[in-house]
Amino acid sequence: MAEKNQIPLVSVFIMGKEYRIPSGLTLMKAMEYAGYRYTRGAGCRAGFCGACATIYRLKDDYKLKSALACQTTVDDGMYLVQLPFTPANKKKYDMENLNIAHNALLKEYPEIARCISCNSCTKVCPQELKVMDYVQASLRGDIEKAADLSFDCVQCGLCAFRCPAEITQYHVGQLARRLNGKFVTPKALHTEEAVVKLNSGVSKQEISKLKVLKLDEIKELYKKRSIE
Amino acid sequence: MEYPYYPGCTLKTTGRKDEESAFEVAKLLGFELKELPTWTCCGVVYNLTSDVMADHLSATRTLIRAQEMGRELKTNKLVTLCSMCYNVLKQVNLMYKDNPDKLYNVNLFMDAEEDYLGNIEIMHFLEVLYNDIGPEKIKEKVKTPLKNLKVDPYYGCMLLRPKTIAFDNQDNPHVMGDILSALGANVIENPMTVECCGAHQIITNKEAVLDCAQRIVNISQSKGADLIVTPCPLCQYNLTTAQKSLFEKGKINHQTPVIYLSELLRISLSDNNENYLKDYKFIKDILEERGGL
Amino acid sequence: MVFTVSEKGLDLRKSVEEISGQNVFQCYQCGKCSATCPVVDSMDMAPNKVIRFVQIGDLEVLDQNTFWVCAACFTCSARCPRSVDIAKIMEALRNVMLRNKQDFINIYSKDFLEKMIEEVPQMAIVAAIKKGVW
Repeated sequence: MAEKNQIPLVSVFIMGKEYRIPSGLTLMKAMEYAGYRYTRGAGCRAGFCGACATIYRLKDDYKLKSALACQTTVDDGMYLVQLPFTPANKKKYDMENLNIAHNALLKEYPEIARCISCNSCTKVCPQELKVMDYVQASLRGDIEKAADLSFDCVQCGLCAFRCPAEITQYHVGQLARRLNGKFVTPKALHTEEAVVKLNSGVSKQEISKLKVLKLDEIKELYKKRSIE
Repeated sequence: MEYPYYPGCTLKTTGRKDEESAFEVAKLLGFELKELPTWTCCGVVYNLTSDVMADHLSATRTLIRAQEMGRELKTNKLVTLCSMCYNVLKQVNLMYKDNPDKLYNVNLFMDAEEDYLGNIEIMHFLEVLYNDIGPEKIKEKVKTPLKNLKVDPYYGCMLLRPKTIAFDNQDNPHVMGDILSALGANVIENPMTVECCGAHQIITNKEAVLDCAQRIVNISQSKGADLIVTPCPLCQYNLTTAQKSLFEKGKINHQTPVIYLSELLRISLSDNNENYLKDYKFIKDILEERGGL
Repeated sequence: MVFTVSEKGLDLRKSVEEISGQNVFQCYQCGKCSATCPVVDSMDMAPNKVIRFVQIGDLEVLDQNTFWVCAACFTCSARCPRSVDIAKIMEALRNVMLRNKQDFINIYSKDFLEKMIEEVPQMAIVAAIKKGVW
């Protein structure tokens, strides 16, 4: 008789009901294993889009934990809830009208001044970013630091939910990165030059030649291409 | 000696000159202000309610940062240039000394940080200059005596009130005056020296700030002050901005420049005063006129 | 004259005493706080009068701008001959309003946002928000 390779099952509480889930599954797969179908709160399934923000508690542990459902595997006794999205007001701004004066971010999001450095945002970030630090950097106009620290933000919205000062941290980080890209980081001159060169039609001839070739002629050219 | 130094938001933006000058002055007097490697806002105002602990978190976090750096530099001191930072940090620190249960509560909440042990000694830059260096030593290092320059030292409120955190006499402070005298300047006694400038009312009630400024500046000007010297970036901003409005309204007939004590110290102590005086033409003119240069 | 304190007035006095930790009846209305207050000219009602109103539980005190104009400079507390910490009483009155969802500042109002455009130091903005928003 063939031995069955038993995958241990764990208890996971979804929508308050207990399910037995094979361990090793991500939270997202666990919910689908239990029979739920995602109509919200799922996106890239690869840890990049921030759609699957999940809050959970472990058995006998009072601490609130957070995770991206597509990136975290199940734990025995996990009691979870998912956030479909975070209600937030995004300021409408025209990048052409902005500058990087010390109050650049305060102007668009004056609520940053309410930050009490409680660190609730940092504690809940599933990407383990230093959220409080980048909000504080924004408060004092240090755009580079704010852009740098918020770089890996996936905009899941958990920070905004936990903030007692009602700041929408990820929007602030987004603006900081935009300002940084537009005003602080050096321009990619080689890209600009390349675009100018292209627009001047330098490659037009070559491309016209390629367009009329047959498939096996193109294949030959490709095989013979120069590789650095 | 290396002192852990906490700048606060404003010293990095509108109060930049104060910090630059203070660093230079420290070097000239033989000590160094070493900035905390990472820091957050101090909280600015001390929460006066008996129950709210959240508003003390900012200051507590700063004190923990100072504690961490203090171990490295083998000191429990924390120096700040901003009067409001000084006030809130010192009041919070004192509150924990008087209420160990509150310290216990806050340490329990900030579980990601090490416990704050309550041992940091907060000093304002003025205290370092007066207590650790002393006016005598400063006098020895003067390269450009500020001869016949009439200065009005203005303290504002946050350094001296409430009494529990004051490092100088509350009604008749002398620390700044002594340092300015050591530089050779002519120190004016302005009875309004500890009068409030209006602080954050510049945002919500500018009229109140104009009243306060007028009271302070009127006497300063009637006693012939060439400039007002202050350690607080908000006082500097309020007095300067208020004078602009008061001048436009015809309530004062000239505007007295308001600069930081560290700027004046830099001009007086530096070998390179030629370079600095270029930025302070009004001081250069006065010193030349009255035989100081 | 005997003052009849309404239930709400009693609640107000109790809240102020609890939040400030001060005994409002220590005040004997000498007026030193008002005399020394740097911003009293902008106030609808002088600080000592505000304390009198709290003593008798008159809710009209909550309509005054006194505690919003207060710059929290601690001069009143420094001068009080009865050691009443008036600065704390003003903070308590602000909190009575703020905890009742009556913010003094709307940070998205045109007035306030304009202040961000000027070179106002951040410390003033944060201080104003700490005193005027819950």
